[in-house]
Amino acid sequence: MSAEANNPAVETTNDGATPDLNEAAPLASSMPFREERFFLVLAIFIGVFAGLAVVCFRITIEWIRLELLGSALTPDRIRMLLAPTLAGLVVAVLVLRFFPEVRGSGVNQTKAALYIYNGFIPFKTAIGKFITSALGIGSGQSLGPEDPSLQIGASIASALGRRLRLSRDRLRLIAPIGAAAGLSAAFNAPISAVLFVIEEVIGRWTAGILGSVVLAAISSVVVARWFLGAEPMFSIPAIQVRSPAELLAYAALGIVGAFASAVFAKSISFLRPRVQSLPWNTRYFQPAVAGLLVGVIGYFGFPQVMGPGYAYMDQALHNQYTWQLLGLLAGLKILATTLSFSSGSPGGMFAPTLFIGCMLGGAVGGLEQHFFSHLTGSIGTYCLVGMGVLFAGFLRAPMTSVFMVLEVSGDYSIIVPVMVANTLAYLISRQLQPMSILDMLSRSSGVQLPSMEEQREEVVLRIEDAMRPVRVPLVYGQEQIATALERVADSPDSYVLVDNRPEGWCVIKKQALPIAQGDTLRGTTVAAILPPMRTPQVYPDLPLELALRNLRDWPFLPVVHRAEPQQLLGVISLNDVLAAYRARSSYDHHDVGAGILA
Amino acid sequence: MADLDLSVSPQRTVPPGPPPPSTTPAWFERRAVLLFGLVLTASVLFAATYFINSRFEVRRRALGEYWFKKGQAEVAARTGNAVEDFRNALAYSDGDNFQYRLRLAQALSRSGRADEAIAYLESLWEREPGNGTVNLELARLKARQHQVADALRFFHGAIYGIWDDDPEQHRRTARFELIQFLLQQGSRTQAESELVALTPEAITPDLQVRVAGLFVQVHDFRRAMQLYDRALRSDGSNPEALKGAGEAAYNLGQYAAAARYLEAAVHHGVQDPATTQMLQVSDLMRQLDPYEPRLSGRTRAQRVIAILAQVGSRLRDCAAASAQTLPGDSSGAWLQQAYKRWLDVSKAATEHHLMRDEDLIDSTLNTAFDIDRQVSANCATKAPVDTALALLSRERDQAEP
Repeated sequence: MSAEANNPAVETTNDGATPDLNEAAPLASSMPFREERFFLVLAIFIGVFAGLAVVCFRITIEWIRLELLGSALTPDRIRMLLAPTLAGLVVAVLVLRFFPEVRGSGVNQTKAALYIYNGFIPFKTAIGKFITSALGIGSGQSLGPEDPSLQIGASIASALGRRLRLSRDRLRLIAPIGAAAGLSAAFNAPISAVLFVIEEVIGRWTAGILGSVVLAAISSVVVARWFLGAEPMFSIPAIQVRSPAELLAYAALGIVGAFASAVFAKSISFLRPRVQSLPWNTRYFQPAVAGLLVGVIGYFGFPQVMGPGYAYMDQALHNQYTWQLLGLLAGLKILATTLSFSSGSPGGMFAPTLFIGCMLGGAVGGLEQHFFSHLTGSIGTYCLVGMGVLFAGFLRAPMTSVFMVLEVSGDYSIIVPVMVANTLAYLISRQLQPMSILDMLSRSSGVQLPSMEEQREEVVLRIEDAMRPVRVPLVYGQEQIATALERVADSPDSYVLVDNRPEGWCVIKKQALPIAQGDTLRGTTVAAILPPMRTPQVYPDLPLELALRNLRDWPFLPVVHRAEPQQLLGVISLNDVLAAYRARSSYDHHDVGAGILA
Repeated sequence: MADLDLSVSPQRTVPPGPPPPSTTPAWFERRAVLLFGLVLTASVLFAATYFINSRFEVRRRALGEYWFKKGQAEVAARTGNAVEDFRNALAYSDGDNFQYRLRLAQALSRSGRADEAIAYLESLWEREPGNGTVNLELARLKARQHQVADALRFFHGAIYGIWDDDPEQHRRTARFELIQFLLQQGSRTQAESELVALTPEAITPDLQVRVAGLFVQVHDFRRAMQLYDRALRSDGSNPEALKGAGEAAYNLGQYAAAARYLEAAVHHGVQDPATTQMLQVSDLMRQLDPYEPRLSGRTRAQRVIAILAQVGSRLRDCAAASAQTLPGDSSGAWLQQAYKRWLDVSKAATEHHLMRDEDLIDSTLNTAFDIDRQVSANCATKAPVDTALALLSRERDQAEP
């Protein structure tokens, strides 16, 4: 089946006349349709398996924490030093000797599977990520479980797809489906998980992939909620923005959050390469040293920075800390997470990002209320908005950040402040740090993954950007050959466009007309001498690449109006397409600030 | 025509025809097996996860209960360490445990950490706006922070809210606290309306005495008197009721009744200075009040003369206190003039004349009370006779048209 037949942007005609770019494919058999349905059913199973895996993952983290740090929220001080240090040694040995693929958060690894390795993630990665992340996070490293859950889900999906011998295209797509399932269960937020995977991993919206991702995310979160409960992660009283001027307070938070995001990103980009450049045998000790340093921070009165920190976020949301302490915790968490992540200990950045945002939001909110006591938002509101701010500014997932805050709080009254703050944080952080942290991490590892942020910014060239006015000779199928010949006699073009609608368009060589006239076809219409194949017509809004596919067979294509197909707007040839691409490329080279072609 | 090459493109390959139909049943069978395998695998993994989760849930719940009980023990022991214990319990609770959060909020409130307690309580209130305990805790905290409107709102929420056990007792407690709060704010009218609403619930003598005492505070002595009487009907020797009834009667100007109640209160062990003072004043009022109904002319005249004698006594005491003699020199002129007036009116106010001349009674008393007011303004004392004379003067002023 031709590639065009799969393109939903291209229309088909029902009367079998002029084909559009959705070239009349061979009669669709029921096989692809069953394949599609089976894939959707498979997505549900992926969701179930990923959900079960994430539930077990979270239980394992909790269990390890209880064993290593005890049941009190504020652990014993000696344990705070020993547990992450000793666990770090074990994690290092496991990673270096048995599971080398599990370093990092897991997001870029899933993207690499999609774009480089045809969806291949070894199942061993799931096992290794499970064990090492649980050990690291449970012992107190300043990392989160969401990113590893994403990679575990992707790995399970990949293994399942290989076992079922799916086609290469399906295999490539199955890893992100599993990733969405894993993230959905970890966050208890299916919408955010779907958005994140599409926004940051896949990078495009199509009906086919969206259905599978959604099904997997939903089935995963249903399983997770069955075991772990359906309550939102955080709860605060509903907010009331009594005056639009209060939004200024949230805007200020967005600005502060943007700078904090830049500091966080620069910290990691500063330390991580330096740690990685150390002699290879120091990698056995790097997680342990990071764990010890994190433990020292906890030892000196800040155990909140150890582990994901959800219990402390809940306390911050309930106004349990002064704004000064909140600011301090935000800064210390940046330091602790930088240490833990740079050491190579497997674990994610989602939870630390939320923690930093929560504390920072509370600090900014507390400070604002200190000077402007009429502000009605509670500290909890600022904490929640702060979470979204860091998510947007640091991870650079603007849509996900908005829905994530709504889903973890279950409160939609907060949407306006979130949107204001997140938008500002996103825009300002892009100026401060043009490359997102995920892109930085992949490129520092020597892997050139496509940047979803850059893809979102790319301008899609369309046919209207390349087409030119109709200057080729135009004849009508119903007119006599002699008449047509007279019309085209003086034209320098060697091709003629024949309007033979309703049957369609056809491009023929000009020299074919005299040949036809010179024999017994005198008096015959042009339509009678046309070949059976019709020239596809195109529309101005279609992407340029669609025209490119058919220009292999035709010297040019007619461009018609969608609402008035009888109106010929122009023609487009291969030279026109190439000229448009060259012009766009020249513009990009001169756009110094965009860094598109970095 | 077949030789004509009118096409501009290479011959396009003819698209393939429809696939052969024979593989459909085999495909279906294979996929069915696969799906069955997936379902089986999912079931097994689900069962394993369920087992793991159940075991861990037991442990989590046990940890939550352990810390919760520890916190409750800390609360009972009043050590002030309950907050951390309840926080730990919350970390191991099922989802968003209402009770754990509530106890944590209460521990924070008791530790004086009002803002932190309010944060938890407000989120609990969002979940259960009708919960009596949450409303009452919030009311107390808001009252402590002098947020009057919020405190009132939450007090009413507690009074009309839902209580799990002994709702009437809790509602009564909430209303009592509201009334105390209103009295502290000086909102006597509002407090009185709450007391009126509380009155039907005062069915035991203790409650009656308590409510009556609050009525006294809002100066609604009539309702207080009614409640004291009800309490005394159940227990005539209730010292609190006797004392309260005496005070109410005293403030209602029913000095005879007040004296009766207060004597009984003293007889049953009430010995505070205020009660003693009131009793003495009441006795004096009984002895001195010339406007008591159904007095004979002679008795009235004798009482007027007694009042004059008391006023004279006060003048002499005042002179002694300021080291003057009566009659004396012109220093302290008001005192000499007052004494002279007293002498003049005393000469005229004989029993014989007073019995025959009502106007003389009035003029004599006017002068006596006027002198007494002067003495009170310059030589005020706390003696019961001073109070009695002041009361008589006030009653006379209120009685005059």
